[in-house]
Amino acid sequence: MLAIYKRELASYFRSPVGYVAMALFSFLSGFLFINQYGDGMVNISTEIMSLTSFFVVIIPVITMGLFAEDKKRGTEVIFYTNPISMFEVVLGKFFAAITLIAILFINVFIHMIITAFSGGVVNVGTWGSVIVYFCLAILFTSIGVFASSISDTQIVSAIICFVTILVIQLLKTVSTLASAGVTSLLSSSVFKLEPDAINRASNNVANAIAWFSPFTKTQDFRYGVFSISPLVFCLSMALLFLFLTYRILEKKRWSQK
Amino acid sequence: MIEITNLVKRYGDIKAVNGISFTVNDGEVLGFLGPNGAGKSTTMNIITGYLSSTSGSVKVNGHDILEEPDLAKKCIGYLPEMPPLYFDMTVLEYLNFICDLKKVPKNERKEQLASILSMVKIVDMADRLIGNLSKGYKQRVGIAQALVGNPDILILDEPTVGLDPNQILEIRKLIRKLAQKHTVILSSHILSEVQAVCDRVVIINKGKVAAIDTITDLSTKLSGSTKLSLSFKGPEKDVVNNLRSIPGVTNVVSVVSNADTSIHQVEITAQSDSKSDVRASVFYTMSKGGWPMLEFRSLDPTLEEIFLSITSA
Amino acid sequence: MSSKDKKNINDNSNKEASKENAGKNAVDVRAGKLKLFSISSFIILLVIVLALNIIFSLKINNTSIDDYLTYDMSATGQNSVSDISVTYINSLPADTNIRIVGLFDRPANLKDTPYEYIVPLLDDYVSNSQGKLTVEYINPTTYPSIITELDPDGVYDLASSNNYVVYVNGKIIQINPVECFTYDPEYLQYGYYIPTSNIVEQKFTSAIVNLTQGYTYTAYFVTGLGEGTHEQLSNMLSSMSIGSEEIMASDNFTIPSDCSLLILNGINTDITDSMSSAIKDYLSHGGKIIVSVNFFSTNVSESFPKLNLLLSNYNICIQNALIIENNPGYQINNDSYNTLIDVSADYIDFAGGASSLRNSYARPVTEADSPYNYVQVAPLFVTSNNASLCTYDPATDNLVQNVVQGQYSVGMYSTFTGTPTPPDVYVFGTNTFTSDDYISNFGFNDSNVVFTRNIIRKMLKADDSVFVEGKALSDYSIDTQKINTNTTTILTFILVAFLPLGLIIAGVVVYNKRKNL
Repeated sequence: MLAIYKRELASYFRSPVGYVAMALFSFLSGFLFINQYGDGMVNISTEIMSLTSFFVVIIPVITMGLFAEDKKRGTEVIFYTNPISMFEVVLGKFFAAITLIAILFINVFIHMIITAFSGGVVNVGTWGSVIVYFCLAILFTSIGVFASSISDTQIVSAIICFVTILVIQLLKTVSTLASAGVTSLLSSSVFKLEPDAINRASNNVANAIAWFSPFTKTQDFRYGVFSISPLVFCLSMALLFLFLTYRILEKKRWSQK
Repeated sequence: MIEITNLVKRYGDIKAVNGISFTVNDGEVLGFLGPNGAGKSTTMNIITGYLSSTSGSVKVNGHDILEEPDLAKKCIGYLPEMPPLYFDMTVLEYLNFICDLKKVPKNERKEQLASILSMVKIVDMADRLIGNLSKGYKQRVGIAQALVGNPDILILDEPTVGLDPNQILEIRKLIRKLAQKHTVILSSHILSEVQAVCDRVVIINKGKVAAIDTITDLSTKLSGSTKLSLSFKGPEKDVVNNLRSIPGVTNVVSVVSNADTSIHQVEITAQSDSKSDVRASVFYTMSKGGWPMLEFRSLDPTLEEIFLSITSA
Repeated sequence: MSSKDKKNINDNSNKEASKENAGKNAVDVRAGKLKLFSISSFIILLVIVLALNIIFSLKINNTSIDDYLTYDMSATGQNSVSDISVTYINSLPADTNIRIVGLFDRPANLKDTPYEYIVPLLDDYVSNSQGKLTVEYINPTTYPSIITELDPDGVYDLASSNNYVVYVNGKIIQINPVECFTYDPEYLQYGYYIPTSNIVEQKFTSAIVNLTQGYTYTAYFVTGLGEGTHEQLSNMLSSMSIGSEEIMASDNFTIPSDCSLLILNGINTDITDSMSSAIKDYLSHGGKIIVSVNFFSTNVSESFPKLNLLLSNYNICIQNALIIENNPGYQINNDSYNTLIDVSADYIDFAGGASSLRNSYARPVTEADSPYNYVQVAPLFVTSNNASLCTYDPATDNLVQNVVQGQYSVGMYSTFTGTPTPPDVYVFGTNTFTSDDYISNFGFNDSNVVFTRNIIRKMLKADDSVFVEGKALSDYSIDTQKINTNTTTILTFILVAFLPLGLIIAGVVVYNKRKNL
């Protein structure tokens, strides 16, 4: 695993990809920070939350090449013909991407230090936001790794990853729309339902959809209110995607195609 | 030792590999000969664990590739048709990565890499970017990659394809050198290449084994007839008739004939055994007639001819 | 060896023939097993992951496992009900039924709305109430019947209020979500609501206490003397089970018999004669009064002669002057009008242990010249020894400073000895103990406000009252003394320009260097 991890991480810094990502991220985060700093009010949590909404762009860029590039170049043969488990390969690549995202986050740590020196607030809520950042990063990166493994070109994998993360970000909106849809559907005279029942049904639909949103689950962390289930949700879902990726790569061992 | 039993690989209705069985003994160099699309690469990919088989089994040093893949893969160094190279790494970075992957102990690494680099003659290229290397050097890096970890068995898929003649000679020399320490399986669609480096040859066609033979046996089988190509200046009909009358010549076919310059080219098929060589008789016949020979050489048999001669034998 | 090979070929061809006959679709069973393993292992993991997450969020009796595994580590526990409320609710009889009804749909998006501190807290109430408390969200546009159910007589205008209603045994108290916070008054005047503290729990718990217990005392605010509002002070009193009423200042001023505490909160004009006699009469029967007056542009020329005449009975005099603090150690932000004052040793406990409190544009409150020994008077807070006074000169419309420096008292307490019903008189020369502005700005945890609460507690013996502190919302402002435009400009350049550009350059350099290797 370490071999893959080292190579993938180094490859980010051999090509311009890593530098462009770092420059982009430091510009974005710096801009968000300075905006607040100029106003004399700095809430690092707000900055971090804004940054997590950029994952939809950053994560596909970081993860798109992980497997797609190997398939295109024919270098995937190395993983299949050497005594190494495919799961190690998946984990190595995944952790390399996570490490890059952590390196990007150094910017925010610098902002935290500046804030602390300027007499601002770096409190338990700030650290809660840091946890949220990494939880979401882990979840979305695992989705990116998965997307990269099911497509042969980087562009396709980036698009799959982008769309998936976008949908997750919009789950809250989707749930509202779905609930409105259910209400209007059931309200039609065909069903003859009590308003109470309609209300309950649409609420249930909304709740069921919103249940999958990691953003909703982690929204209290920024205030320093921590709960275990969002962590379990993000990490277990990430594990699921990584395992699925592993299974898809392992398919070559038995696939008849 | 590699034991391959009844290997079948089906893509939909097409059988790329259709029941191949053979054994590779320790220390030998096995040539894997067949035309393009015969199933050579598929078979090699299955042996190395890159592809699955539809049925049949592959055992490497007693380890089944499906059941004990790690143990089997440990014994194999593989150079696929397209060398698996990262173009954004330098040669040394890349080989170090392969060392990491094959878990070569840190203290042996430097020594091993130095010996591999000098063996495949890429010492000067060690710090160059792989993407900037010529095709021949890339192929050598590919071979170096297969050598890392000192595997018992080397599987080289078309190691000379796309190289210039000089590079081909170099690579062949290298393979002969490697054969001293490793069991080598080498695929090729060129007979002479296999003849040049291999002890034994497996000939496959359309996914099936056409023949398994030692090189010496193969030569005898192929020595039943020889083909010669001859260019000369002179009257075509006379020459052909004279050539036909030489004992041992079975057929003479005109290939190129040019009435204006009266320069012609013919192909002579002759029975060849160690007792009589028609080449001397051809020379004397031509000189006696006063027809100058412009070119005279023996022709390598095509694969199709080999299959024909093998199956007819 | 060659013979063996030939045998191989023969074997091979035989097998081939038999194989082709045997069946074209023969597939290695091991591949099938691997496939089965692969798919089933994924499905098992999927089921485990989903089950785990569903178990976490499954609600049984309105609580889920996740509620137990939630840790409120915020400094003030914004979304957790404090022990004070829990203890009170636990002390109620088991058949108590408290309904909290939000007259709107349960808000879906809590983030950046007042509900982000209300909805989770109410849920926490439920999980701590042993079933005595329920929280519902019922939209009256969908269920109009809820209005008559809660308010059969139509006393309250519930339908369009969007309020929470706390309902116990037919009695209700409305709580407006917006009023569950104190706001920065400076921004408020421009129409911006910048919350400074969270009093959600205070509001709901005191509503619960008041509905289950009823008010114990009633405080009367005197209005009509140019005084400020008293919304926050009323909140505080309500949380101490003290109801708030108002009486208008007038020429035939009378004090109701149920008055437990009279408050003249930041008045700007003098009292009337009838008030003076009514208050004197009220105090002679053990009445309690809090007076706060400051020195500001609204009252610079007001010397409060009638009030001072009344207070002279209690040996207290409010001077018509402004205190200027010359000791930089007492100044706040180098401001000689907004300063610190030392708390008298006897009252440090009242201030929650703070030895100095804030004051702003204060008048000196000094002893008058009462000859009676039964009047016990003591200063509450004093300035440094370097304070001086300035007075207003109406002729020039200017403040005239007196150069003499000394120590001045800003608050006084007076009572009588030897009577069965002694009065309690507290006089503040500043509004920083009672004004809405101050409480909004600094919250209920501020030492000044704590001081006010403690003297009310002492006066009304309301020590057992259930009071939940306001929860300070984080103040994200940075120290303006440490930054200036220069540092901001430099930081902007470094963070937005130099750092990204440097990284781009580093990328280009590395790329070029490697490209030519």
